Amino acid sequence: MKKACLPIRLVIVCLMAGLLLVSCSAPTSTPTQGPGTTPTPVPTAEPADPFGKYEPAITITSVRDIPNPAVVKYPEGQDVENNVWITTIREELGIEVKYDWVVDASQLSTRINAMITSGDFPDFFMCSSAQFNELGSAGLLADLTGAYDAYASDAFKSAMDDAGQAVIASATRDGALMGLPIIASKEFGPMLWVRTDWLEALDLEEPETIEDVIAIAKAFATQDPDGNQVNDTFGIPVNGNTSGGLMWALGFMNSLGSYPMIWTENDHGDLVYGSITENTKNALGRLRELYDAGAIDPEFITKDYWATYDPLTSGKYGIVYGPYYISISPLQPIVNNNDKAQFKPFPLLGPDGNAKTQQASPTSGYYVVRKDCAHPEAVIKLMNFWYREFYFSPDQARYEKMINGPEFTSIYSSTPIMSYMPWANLDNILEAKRCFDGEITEDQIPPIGRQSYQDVLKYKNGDIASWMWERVYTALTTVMTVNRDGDLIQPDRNLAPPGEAMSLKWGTLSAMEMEAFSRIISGESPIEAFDTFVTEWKAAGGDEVTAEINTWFDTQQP
Amino acid sequence: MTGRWLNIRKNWPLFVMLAPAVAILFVFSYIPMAGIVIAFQRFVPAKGLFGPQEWVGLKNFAYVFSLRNTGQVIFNTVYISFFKILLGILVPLTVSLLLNEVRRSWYKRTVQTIIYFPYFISWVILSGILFDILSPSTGIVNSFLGWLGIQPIYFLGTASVFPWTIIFSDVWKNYGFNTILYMAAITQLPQDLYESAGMDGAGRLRCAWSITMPGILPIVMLTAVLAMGSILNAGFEQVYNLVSPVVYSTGDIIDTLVFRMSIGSTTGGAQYSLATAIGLFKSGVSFVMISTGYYLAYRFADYKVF
Repeated sequence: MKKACLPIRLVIVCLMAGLLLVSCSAPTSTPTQGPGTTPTPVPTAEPADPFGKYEPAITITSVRDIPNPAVVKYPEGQDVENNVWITTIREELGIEVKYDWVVDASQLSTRINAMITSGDFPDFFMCSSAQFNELGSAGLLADLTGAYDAYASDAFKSAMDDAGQAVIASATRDGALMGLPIIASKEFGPMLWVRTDWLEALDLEEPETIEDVIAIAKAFATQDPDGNQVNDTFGIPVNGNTSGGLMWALGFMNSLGSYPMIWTENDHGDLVYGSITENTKNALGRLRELYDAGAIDPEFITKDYWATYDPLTSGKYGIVYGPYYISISPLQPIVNNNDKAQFKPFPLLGPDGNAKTQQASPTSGYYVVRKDCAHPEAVIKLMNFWYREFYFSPDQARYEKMINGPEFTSIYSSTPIMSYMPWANLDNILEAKRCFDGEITEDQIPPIGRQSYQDVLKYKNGDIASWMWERVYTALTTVMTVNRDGDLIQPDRNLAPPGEAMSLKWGTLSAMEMEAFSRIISGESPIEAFDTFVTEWKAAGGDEVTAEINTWFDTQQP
Repeated sequence: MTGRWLNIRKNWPLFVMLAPAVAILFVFSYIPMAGIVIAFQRFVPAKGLFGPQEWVGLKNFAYVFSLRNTGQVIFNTVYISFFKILLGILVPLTVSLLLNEVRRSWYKRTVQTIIYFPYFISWVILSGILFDILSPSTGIVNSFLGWLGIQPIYFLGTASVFPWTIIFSDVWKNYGFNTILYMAAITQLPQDLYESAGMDGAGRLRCAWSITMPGILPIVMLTAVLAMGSILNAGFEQVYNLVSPVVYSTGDIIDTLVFRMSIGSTTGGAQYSLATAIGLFKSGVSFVMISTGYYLAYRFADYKVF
């Protein structure tokens, strides 16, 4: 017996040795980039050209995430380091972008933390607000003020201006621009989508107030709107198993004046956390009412954001609160399976009139440049290039090459840098609308708007696969214009770098919040438990965090 | 001295084979111990691992134990972990004793393979499967209970049931492995004991009780002693994938709590100090538990690992 064991031990030892080799070789595959790797001089030609080409070419290093390969497909023969964006940047700007490492998107933050600890940075990279603050305080970042002023293109500057002073201030330390904020779109807040063929089936009117929505949700859950004689439909989706908030229910809560997870300004000019307000208590009570009426999936508490996708795509929900693009996913499959199905977008309907929709954060992170980077302005040029190609493609051929050529989903993973313009999608689509209204001809629509114009035409000619684009067009032109003109956007006012209490306690506070919310909605706790939650939340550090954020907020006031 | 050298010279291949394992242990278990200092600092990554960090003494420990629900979470951890260890020994022990009595070897092997299979599935995948089969509305388990006239049970969404769902799914996943371990120990027992017992008129039950059980007691003790060291590990991967906010009250364990506090929160930035402090606390408790277990095993079963 003893002897017989030996080969097994040998195998185990060999396996371990193999493991050791793998572990040891891993770090060497990520070459270190010292400061001396980019010795090329700055071009002598007029230094302030936003798109000026480096002769000879320079190398800029970065690190980045790669998305799930099951979702994002690169065109044949291309990948994250070799694609039309990287090659075009090399040819036209003379900037060779190299990645020290790439990592799965879910690992990026952890990996960047490890990178910060090791002190071994690439020339530029994306980081979170917390990381940005940490790096800035440690004096490891380059001052971009001069490079931005001299090199930023008009489009880039207008995106920054539209994003607002608060966003720029959040990237500024002592008057110096230390990072490029990744500007969030103002178009991503939830709107209300209602299944109109179900309304007709049940002989109901289109909703005008939140009370109508609640009544319709209950009717959808109980009166078999899909007519299959099975009680298998729900009103609205809610995701209860989450650490990131009740994403699917946000629009509903917004309609009742509740803005959970974000900070809003009260009458006294102080910031308050939306999850602990009376309106939130009320909104949770109404969700409980829907839960009791069977309009919310009784199993929502174990379903996360993505698990909710499954019943959504199979058409079990008649009311969905989501951004303008949910027609693409998860709603399009419903229409593929049932060409009678139709969703109509509405602005958020409050008790009377429209309600504001919440914008998570006006910035989702920062691009930062290493202090001793030889060419900080090259990063500005990359951003100029992104804005020009993504939003203002000069002509159709160019649009085909950069946007239509690559699989759409791979664009974000092909460009070395990206950001949004707060209202660009709406502006582009409004050009398509002008064409439908006969104000301009098709040739005069800029390429992105033209794409939308053609998609809407395709749908009108019976192409069911273009339904999602037609709905995007409709949602933007009918709902988003209302939101923009009526100033119905509620942004997160907290752009403070996380302070000491925030860093230490926020994880715990968020967990308390999610526990209280899902217990109240599911009836595990009475609605009065909300008051207990608020008291405990404040005592466990909520008051400290609030004070911290308001101290920062006071410094932001002119 | 010469005797030891002789030993090494005679057995040098064994030492060579041992070397990588020792190296791994040294690199991945001993060197990182230097990082324990983080538990006593307010660690800011940008300042570097051994950079000018601020020392805060026991503040990190104090904070964790000042949290409202830390006591409950420790209780949950020990509760889940204790029953996992207990059932994780009793179930495979019973199954291996029963399987040992099966005479047909093809049947024995088939059963072993089938019960061993879930051991290889990761919790990430298994949790998805469990969410499906344990669903009160569409899950196969509740359909089955429905035939027996039992109301659907929300196994993963009811606070009182959740810990037992965790315990039983863990035992189910892992008992195949321990069964094989115990089966191997049983086959090592000398056959002549059974023969002579049979001659003295002992039946199969008597043999199992008086020969097999004492025979494999050492390996059972070994698994028990080793398991006691992990009394504060209630299975992060499993609980993290199955827990939801509604069942935090009974299902939240130390590891998931720490994960949320330290690394899971993207808003606040990673709190390495907290995570390290808890890790150190857990190691301390594990050390005490494993020492006690070892002493007890020696005292009452006269069994020594080393």
